[in-house]
Amino acid sequence: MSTIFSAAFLTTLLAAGVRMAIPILLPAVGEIFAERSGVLNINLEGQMLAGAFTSFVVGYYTHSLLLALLVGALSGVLMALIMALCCVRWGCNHCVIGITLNMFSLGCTSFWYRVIYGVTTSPPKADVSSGTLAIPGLSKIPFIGDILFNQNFLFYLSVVIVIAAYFVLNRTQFGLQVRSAGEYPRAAETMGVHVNRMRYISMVICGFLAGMGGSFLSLISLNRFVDNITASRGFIALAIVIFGKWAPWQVFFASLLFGTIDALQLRLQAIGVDVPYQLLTALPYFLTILVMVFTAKRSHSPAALGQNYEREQI
Amino acid sequence: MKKNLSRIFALILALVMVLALAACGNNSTSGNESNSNNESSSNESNSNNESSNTDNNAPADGKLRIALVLPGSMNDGGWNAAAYNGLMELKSQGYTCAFTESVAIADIEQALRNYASEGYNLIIGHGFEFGEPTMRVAPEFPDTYFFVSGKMPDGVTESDLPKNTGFMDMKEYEAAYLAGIVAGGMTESNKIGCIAGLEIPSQLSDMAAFVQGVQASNPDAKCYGVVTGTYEDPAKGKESALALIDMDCDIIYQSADSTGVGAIEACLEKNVKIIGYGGDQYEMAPDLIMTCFVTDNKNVIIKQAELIENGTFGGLWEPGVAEGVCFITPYHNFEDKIPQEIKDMVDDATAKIKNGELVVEYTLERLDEKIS
Repeated sequence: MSTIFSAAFLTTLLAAGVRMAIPILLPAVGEIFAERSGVLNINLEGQMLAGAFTSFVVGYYTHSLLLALLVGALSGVLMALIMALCCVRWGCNHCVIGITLNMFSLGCTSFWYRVIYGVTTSPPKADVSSGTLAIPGLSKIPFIGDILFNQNFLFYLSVVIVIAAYFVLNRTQFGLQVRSAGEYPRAAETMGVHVNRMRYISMVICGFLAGMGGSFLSLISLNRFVDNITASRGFIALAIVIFGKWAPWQVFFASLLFGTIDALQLRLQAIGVDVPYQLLTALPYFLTILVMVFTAKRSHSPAALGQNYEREQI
Repeated sequence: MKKNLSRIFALILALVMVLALAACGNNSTSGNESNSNNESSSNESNSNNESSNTDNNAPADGKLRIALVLPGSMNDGGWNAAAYNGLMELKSQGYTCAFTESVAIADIEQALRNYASEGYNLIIGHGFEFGEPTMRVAPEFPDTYFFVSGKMPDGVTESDLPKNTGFMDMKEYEAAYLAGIVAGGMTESNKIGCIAGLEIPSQLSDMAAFVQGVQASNPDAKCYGVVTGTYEDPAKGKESALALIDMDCDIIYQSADSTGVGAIEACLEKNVKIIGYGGDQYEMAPDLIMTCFVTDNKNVIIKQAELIENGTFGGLWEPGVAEGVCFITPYHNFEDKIPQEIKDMVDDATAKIKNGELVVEYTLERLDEKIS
């Protein structure tokens, strides 16, 4: 039991928690934009998967990390634009379109992967170099250095994105317009805000971040692609957004908490804590539900979330 | 407006709960069925037209029509991929073949029934989860052969089986035992990490037999097990492996298909030796994979077609190392690194299993280290 409380165990646990948080955090921050503008983007999983697949293919052939990451993010944007076209332009039900596009994305990526690489017991590897990036000086701080400053560069980028998202949403005119589109579109429109344009732009941001989150899984974490590589992380991110009350910083900490609990259950199993494994694997999900039960009442979702806006409708 | 909101909330909550279930239970991937290969479905419809008027048991061209139903993705680099390769082999021999992949447990019965009523002669359910649905469906289609590559459901004995069904309970754990001997002989830290998919009989018996193999060659070595709860989440597999490596494990055993792909990636990063699974995964990490324990799913499926043609299909078949169905793959780059005495020990155990002198214990208990 003493191993659980040792400094080494805690350091590696928290570092793993940060690693596991990244692919949830990025799409969750994107989803904040989408939902704050009024689009319930259930298609998050599909956008991640599209990003994971295309970035792997580009990484496999070009070996260029940045190019692959960019293409992955852009294919997330493409999926998001299909969703936006259906929901913002044509006024379809957000849930139905989102779920349908998730299935489409899963089928499409698996199919094209097989067309390109065939069926094999040794999935091919994209040779893209990306190890951890130790920040000089800071990474030498005991304990904290190993947890926060010896991570993949995408983690530092995520922190920058969270800070940027906070400022854009709360401190800029654009952020105010996005939020007003999701709270009271009619009032926003009368004040000269292009509600649907805000929703389009928010979806583009969301798709970009979701695609990047997916790329992290395939390109950076594994260097490989397998069917359904995202394994429902897009849905977890949806829950994390509610958990984090649609605010970037809260979502940031919520993802870290979720990632850490997930890392904890794997490590508890590894050292041989004699608890049924089903209980341990359910731990992060159980915790999410628990926190939501206690915070749901105080949490305030965008008032026009999931509602389509038509200019000419009274 | 309030009402709508609460509905959305309810939906998201429901989604989260479904996810939670999926995470701790089976690999339910709804919608995955749409992945069915185009090639096979077009084949399917063609042959439907041709043989719609012929008797089920006597296809027009004299060749069987074979359908394979897979529990997971056929591109999982393990259990399902090997069966798929077997089917493709049969296809190249002139059989008409079709398959469906990623079939959720609730949909198995429907999938079997569909193929049976479409006139397929041999329907293969690839996994032990197909046992019960097959026992229900098989009596309804006495002219169709059903084969389950898994053990019989609890409470069913061989005499209960309908004549048109065959079960196969592979002794995969015998191969895991052999892999354990190799791992035990090669560990330096005396700590070995094990990563399994779901807590199902085959996975548990593999892990237990592996631990026994380790102890046979190295009584001081200890094994630490993680059950990830999924076959399809490589990122989780990678983190599991890293957790074990952080504990000083210098060999990782994986038996978790796609999840295991992530475990191998972690080993590549940390330069840790690997025991692979499902197929010869040597190419994924040539300098780290010592051996893989595999089942010959390909030839097992091919053999069923032969059995039907000979008229000896049916019953329970329990192949293992002795039948050559379960084995460990060549050592490749480790040929020179594994001590000769360990290799001899593996050969000796193989021979003894074959002549019945050594019986690897089949147990579902967790023999890896536990803190009490």
